[in-house]
Amino acid sequence: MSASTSSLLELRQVTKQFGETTVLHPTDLQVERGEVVCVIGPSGSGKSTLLRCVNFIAPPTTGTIVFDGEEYRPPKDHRWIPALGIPEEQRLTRLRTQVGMVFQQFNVFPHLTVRENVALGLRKTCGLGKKAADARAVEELGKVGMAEKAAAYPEQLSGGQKQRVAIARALALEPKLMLFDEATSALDPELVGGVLQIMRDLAAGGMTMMVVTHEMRFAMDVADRVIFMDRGGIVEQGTPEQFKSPQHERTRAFLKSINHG
Amino acid sequence: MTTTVFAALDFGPVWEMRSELLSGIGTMALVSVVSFAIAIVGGLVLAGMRQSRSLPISWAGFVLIQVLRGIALYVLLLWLFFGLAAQGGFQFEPIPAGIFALALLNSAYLAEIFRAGYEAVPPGQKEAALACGLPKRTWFGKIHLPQVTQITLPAMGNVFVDIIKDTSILSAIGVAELLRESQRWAQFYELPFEFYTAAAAIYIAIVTLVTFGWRRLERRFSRHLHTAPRVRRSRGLLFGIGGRPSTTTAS
Ligand SMILES: Nc1ncnc2c1ncn2[C@@H]1O[C@H](COP(=O)(O)OP(=O)(O)O)[C@@H](O)[C@H]1O
Ligand SMILES: [Mg+2]
Repeated sequence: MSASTSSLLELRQVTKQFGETTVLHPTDLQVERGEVVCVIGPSGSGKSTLLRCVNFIAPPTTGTIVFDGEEYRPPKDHRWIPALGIPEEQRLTRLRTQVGMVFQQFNVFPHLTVRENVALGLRKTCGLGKKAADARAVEELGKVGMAEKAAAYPEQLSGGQKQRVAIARALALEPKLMLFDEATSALDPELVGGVLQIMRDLAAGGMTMMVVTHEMRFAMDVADRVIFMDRGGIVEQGTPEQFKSPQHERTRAFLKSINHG
Repeated sequence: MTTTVFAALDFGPVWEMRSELLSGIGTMALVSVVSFAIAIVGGLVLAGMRQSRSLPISWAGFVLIQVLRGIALYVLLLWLFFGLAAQGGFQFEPIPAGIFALALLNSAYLAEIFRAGYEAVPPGQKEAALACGLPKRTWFGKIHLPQVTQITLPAMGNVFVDIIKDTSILSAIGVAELLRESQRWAQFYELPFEFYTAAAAIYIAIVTLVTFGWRRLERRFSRHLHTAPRVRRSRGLLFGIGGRPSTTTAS
């Protein structure tokens, strides 16, 4: 609890393996409070995996994550006595509520109304009653311009509207860190701008964010720092200004490929 | 010509025996509903075994499902009812034997249906639920189970209909269900055409009723796929015939 607590997030030698394959090689990373970090890189380079580690959805295989001063190390696997894993699971659940995540495929809950999508997390994690949670949900939906659709089911919404609901659902829990994993990649072109605008506003409001994106204009405008990943590791990072003349050949090749894509 | 053929038909005795046939229907209903209920529990257990992280349990589930899927109902019935008794083992009563056989075989089918449904829910749903800070049990109860139910209901309805029709095979061990009753009175009156026609008509009617009832249940679980749920639901049973939920929007 000393100097390192000033960073909101710190990864130390974090790795992720699935069985035999290493998807994330030992990675160090610090994210300061209020910082917006954009993560770019080719498909399959481990960007989503990195976010999933940070969000504790897929906790790292080895290494340490310090989030808001709380240190997390992967525990032993309790395959023989699963009950031993329960305190660990509860801890992960608590950590996850402090990190919001928005997905490429929206992942709204199709069988719940827009309001219920947002209210469910409020009831289960903030201990709000049904009435209070519903009211808070509608309020959060209002912030992304979706209050009128509170009673609709996701089926009736456009992709952009679904993504707004997903953003409201994450923001309702007042996370300290927001993660966006290609939040606009599945949207029709005319719907991208609206969602990006919400993200810009969020950044301007001081939210700490990690954003995986292929929207280089957005990254250049909004990011305090850009990270380039390739083959399961961070290759290069720097300010958007520095990324105008990248150091590494792989970065140059990637930027070239998406500019001409 | 046709008139003379039909003039020879005599449905009077069928009508006279209506209370016997009705009691056959009662037995059929009892056996189907109880077997189906037990099969659902059995199916959940078998599907759970297949999903188990423990290798021996998962294999045991696989073997059980394969074995049960390989046995014909007729064979299992005769084996349980006559085979076991002949070995000085256990003498089943006809109805419990029938229920046991139907439940056992169909639990294997349901297990496969449940497993497929379990895997058909997009993995992103779990990630999103966990990312919202929902505990695992809330994810399972509020997010996963409702979607699995919605996905599996149509296939479950097919199994239920199969069970209803397969109760007729129980006549082989003397269960007094609809077919057995029809058989008895067909022989007694020597009017096989009339009695078996009546039996067939009753099977068709019951299966049709169950199908429509089941469809209403499916609707309830796929409310979210209807663009105008209230209008459709208020129309009742018959008007819902053509109204399958549309799922045209890709997501
Ligand atoms: N659950 C998983 N099991 C096995 N391999 C995985 C899993 N998730 C991701 N991977 C692999 O990890 C690599 C990185 O994936 P990902 O983090 O999704 O990349 P990106 O988001 O940059 O496209 C890919 O090669 C992918 O196949
Ligand atoms: Mg990805």
